[in-house]
Amino acid sequence: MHSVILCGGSGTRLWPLSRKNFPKQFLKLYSDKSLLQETFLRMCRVMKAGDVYFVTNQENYFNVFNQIREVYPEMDRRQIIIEPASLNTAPAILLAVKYLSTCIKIGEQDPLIFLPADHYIGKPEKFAETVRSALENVGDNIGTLGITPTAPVTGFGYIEKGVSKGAYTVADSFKEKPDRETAERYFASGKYVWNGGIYLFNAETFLGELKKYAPKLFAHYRKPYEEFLEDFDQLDPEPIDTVISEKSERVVIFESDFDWSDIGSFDVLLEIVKKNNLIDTKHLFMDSNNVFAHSESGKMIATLGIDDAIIVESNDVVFVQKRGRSEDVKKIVNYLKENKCKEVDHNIIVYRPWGKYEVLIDNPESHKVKKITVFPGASLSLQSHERRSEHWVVVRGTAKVVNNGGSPMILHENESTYIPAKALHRLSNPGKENLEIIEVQTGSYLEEDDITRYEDDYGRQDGV
Amino acid sequence: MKFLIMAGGKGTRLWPVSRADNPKQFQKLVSDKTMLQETADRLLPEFSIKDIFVATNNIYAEEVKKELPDLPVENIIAEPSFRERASAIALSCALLAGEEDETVVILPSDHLIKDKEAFWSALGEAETFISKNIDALVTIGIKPTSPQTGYGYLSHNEEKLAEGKFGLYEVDSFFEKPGSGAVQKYLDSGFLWNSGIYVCCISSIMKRFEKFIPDTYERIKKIQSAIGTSELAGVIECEYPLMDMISFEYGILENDDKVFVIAADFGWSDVGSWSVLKDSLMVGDGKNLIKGEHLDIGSENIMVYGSKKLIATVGLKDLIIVDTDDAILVCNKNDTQLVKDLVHKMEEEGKIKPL
Repeated sequence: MHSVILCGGSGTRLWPLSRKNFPKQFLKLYSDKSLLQETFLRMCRVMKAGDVYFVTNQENYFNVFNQIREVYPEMDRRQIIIEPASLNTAPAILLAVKYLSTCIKIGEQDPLIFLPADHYIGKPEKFAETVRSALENVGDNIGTLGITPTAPVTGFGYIEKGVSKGAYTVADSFKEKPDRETAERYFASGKYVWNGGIYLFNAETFLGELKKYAPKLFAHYRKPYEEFLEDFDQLDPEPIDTVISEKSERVVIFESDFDWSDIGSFDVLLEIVKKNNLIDTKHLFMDSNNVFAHSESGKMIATLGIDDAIIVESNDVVFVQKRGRSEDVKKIVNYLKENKCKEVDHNIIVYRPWGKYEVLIDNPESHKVKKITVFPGASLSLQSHERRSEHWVVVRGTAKVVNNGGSPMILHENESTYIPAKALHRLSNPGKENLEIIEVQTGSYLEEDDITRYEDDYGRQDGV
Repeated sequence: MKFLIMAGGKGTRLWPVSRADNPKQFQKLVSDKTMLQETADRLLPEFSIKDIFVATNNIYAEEVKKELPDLPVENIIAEPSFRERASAIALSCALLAGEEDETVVILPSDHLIKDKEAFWSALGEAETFISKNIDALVTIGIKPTSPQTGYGYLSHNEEKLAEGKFGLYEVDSFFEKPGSGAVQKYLDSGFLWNSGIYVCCISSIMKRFEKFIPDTYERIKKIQSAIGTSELAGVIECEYPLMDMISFEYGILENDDKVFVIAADFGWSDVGSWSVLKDSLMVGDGKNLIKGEHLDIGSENIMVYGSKKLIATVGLKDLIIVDTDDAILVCNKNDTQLVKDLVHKMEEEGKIKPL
């Protein structure tokens, strides 16, 4: 058995935390682990960590790699499948099946489970039990995990239950997010489950259903692997639900109640935090009720005499909303998009294969100051800049610096060096803890594209 | 006439902008000048900078020098520890030895006054009265414009004792900050706000210490006897922290029967809380008061006081949001008087460092 975690999404519903360059699955929202890390660790209860795969895009590859390595240092890079284009779940699943069959050579009847990277599950043990049973009993069906509804929620899709057949129930039909009245009817009838977007099947069944219901995808699948990747961007961006689930007659539901949520808004997150009594000890709420506060940069958030509010701080935005007004986040994001504000796509913290950097001061005319974090054992590329020089001060850890082609030198905390413009240089972290340096750039041109790379551990030619 | 600007407060009521290490008087709250600079500039050019003295805590002395470069360095009176305002006044009077016959205006460093000519008139009326009534202490009262629960109030006799732009009366009693129930009664009774600006002859202030806080008076005398010797700094260091921990209003004014008030009106505010700051800065009938970059969907009557970040708000009402480099405050606009308690609680819980 293998699992595939789909982590190529880029939603904005949790803006300002989720950004195009750092979407929701990478956020640490209610614990010290990100949603992706939680999802991965949940699957490790069911199977070997080495059998868990990830589908993501080029942009988020290193976010996945770095986050999973944090909790599973032995991770193999081959566990990450890179989509040539970010389409939707149907192409992503097609790619994963192709990759696992071609490159990992899994068996045609080996059960596979596909799941989103950014959901909350409150009862991981119960979830693991359900998954184990589902993998065992799915056979040549298309299995889905259905969650027993606990309230007439309008924000989720529903699946109508049919005949019960032991371990599972036949799925009669899929329903879009209902209106309030319909949701209440679904809930009262007891005949519906929430659609968690989690699917199980083996390659053989999947391809059989594709052939029947999605001949275009099937034809694409049959191309040789190189050609499959090359033409990938021509596929339609469709979700798996409309391509197969809603049409197939083999869909069965494994129903369970493992306390699930898609964390589609801060309102939902507030409920989760409240329900689990996850008291935030950093912040201070005085005479305040139903307040959710989250600071990415570690600021102190204090509230006084307020009720029903959500306060979220990221490195460049403070967002305060009345509880229950999550729908309006979209309006803010749209406004920012229309006005081409950087606060939508990019976060001030930029993640790289070797670590991350944060721009502390940005004065394009004369100087820029960055805090650079390099992971243990990682190296930046051997590079040079035409028009800027750099001063580096080591504030934590140990740095190995090659400067102007000379032999490497070691810098400790409280030591510094100067990299003149045009000099060939390279920074790496030979130590066992993170290396942190403060970099002061000066020069007439300070954009990231002033870089010439000579060697790179990560095969990059342009960018930073 | 001399001026004694009291600039030694820690100003926790405007947290998180005002901090013990950078309190309100050194913040640019209402313009591109700090509150202290505003206070000093308001006295010029009508009065001379040489007549201005600034009493502040030792740790703020450098900041005062930086902000008021024309102020003679010897006019900065450095307090060795945090005490009540009465102690700061006592120390200042001790060090103004030789100027006993001068009239001094004691004024806070962090208030807002919109009409400075009217303010000068009030000071002039006080000075004229004192020149004829050497024992008098004159406080500047303000005709209330709204039911503020965060201000001290005073009542006065009907009989006008001196003519002038505003008129001068004898004070009956002082009242502490009222509850929201009492405040309307105060307004209906014609009470005035006590601005905390006092005018008095220096020798007459000394007599008041002698009469009402004799222990502090003894210490003033000890300090005065060390003036001109190398011991002075040591004596101040030793005596100042031992002065009675009692406020000027409670220790002296409320027991004093020679207090008079000028019923003035010059656009005054103590900027003592976020909601007062909001009211002071609000022009016209605008809905929200915004500083910094802000984006809103459907909020009403909010104040956003930002620094560098975009602040986005959705569906809020009657809230004050303040963002600084290391902390964010979200506060109901009716609770801003309690920010002091909030800061106290954070200090207790070790969430922020006390000074």
